[in-house]
Amino acid sequence: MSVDLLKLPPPSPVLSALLSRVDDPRHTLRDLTDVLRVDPALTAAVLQLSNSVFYARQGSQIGTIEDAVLRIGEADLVRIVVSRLSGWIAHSDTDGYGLARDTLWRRALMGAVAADEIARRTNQSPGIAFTTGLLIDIGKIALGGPLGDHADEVRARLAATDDDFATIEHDVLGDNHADVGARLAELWRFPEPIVQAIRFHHRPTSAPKLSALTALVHVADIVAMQCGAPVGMDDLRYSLEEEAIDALALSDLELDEIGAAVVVRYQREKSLFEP
Amino acid sequence: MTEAAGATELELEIGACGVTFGTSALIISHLTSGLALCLFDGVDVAGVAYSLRGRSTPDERAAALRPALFVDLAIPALLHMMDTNGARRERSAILVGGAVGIDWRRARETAASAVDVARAVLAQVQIPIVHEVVGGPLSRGLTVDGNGRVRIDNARERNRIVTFTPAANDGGAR
Repeated sequence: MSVDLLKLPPPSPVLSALLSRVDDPRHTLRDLTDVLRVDPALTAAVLQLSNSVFYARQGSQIGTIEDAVLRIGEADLVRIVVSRLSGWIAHSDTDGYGLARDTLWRRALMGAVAADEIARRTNQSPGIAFTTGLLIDIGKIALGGPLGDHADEVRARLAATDDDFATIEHDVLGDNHADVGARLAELWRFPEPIVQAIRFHHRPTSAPKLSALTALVHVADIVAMQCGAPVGMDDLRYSLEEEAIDALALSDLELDEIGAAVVVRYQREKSLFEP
Repeated sequence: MTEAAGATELELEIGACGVTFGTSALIISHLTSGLALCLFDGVDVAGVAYSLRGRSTPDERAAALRPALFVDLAIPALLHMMDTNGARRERSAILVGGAVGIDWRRARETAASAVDVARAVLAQVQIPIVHEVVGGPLSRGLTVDGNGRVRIDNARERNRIVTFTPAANDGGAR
């Protein structure tokens, strides 16, 4: 089965440009603000957030994009840009996965928060982690229609076997949401580490080389499910590959702390980014 | 919150607890590994705490910010909420959740620990558990109203309904 990925509207070009710069360890503040300037609405949103009650405690009102980015920090900057994706994800049709409208977005947001929390504990970029966490299931938007056409077959396989959902999805459709999502990310020119993390987020040990970002979003996805992230037809039919936890050197205590932190932070993030 | 025919429905998020009256309901749409602890006064007040973990120690920061995340803090908080909302002292409990569908040792341990702590704390405060729908591989949906009507859904068990009547607070579900 082939999915016409070009039918899906791409997200803002600012997003891929910004992610590419953030992914470059040599990037400067100027690199980021240069990207933002081409989008007046985004610049206004960054200025507005930097002068919000939450951030305004840090000083007087500011009026330049450079000062605004300095105040809110890179991680929150990326999250603002990514929030543009929220509406797109929230209003996409994922009925085929048994996900009510906006449910995929709420699930993605909880995974993004979990990814951000893990990144902060493992010295990775919280902005990239949050973004990748939000994007890992974008393939479901493209595959929702075809999967809906085979819903009875998928349900029968779920009831009759212990296979994980990605296996069933692939057996029934000849494709799965992780691979489709990675192809979308390539099409939209996202940085390669993000593409790989999306492709292997359910099976990180199948990656040619297990990257920290792939391990991170794999664990984050499972933590989010454990923390009550909304589920659809796939329910809880996923496995955690312990090698990912080992790669991140996370202890049981840290994983417990991350789960608690996700629940604490999720409500705030939801109110910030609700489409 | 949704409202229909005079009754309201409020979605309860994980780490929160709430009290409801009469036909108004508290809902948890996606109850995965977390535990919903439901208390009933046998008349028209019910309370639900939606917790993730059993014991609050040593996670003091999260415990301070969101006590209902932990069963050992959620139960006294919920009892206090019910007291201040005029619930009767004769109470019964049901436990729902703790699905272990995710193939991960830590998720199974966490879910089991939450149930164990709930049983222990409820025994300490002498509230009988009259029904448990815990564990298993599937997530659930839960609706609880103040009259003691509880609906539990999952992919294989649609509209399983447990109802508590005023006389059932010393007996159990029917």
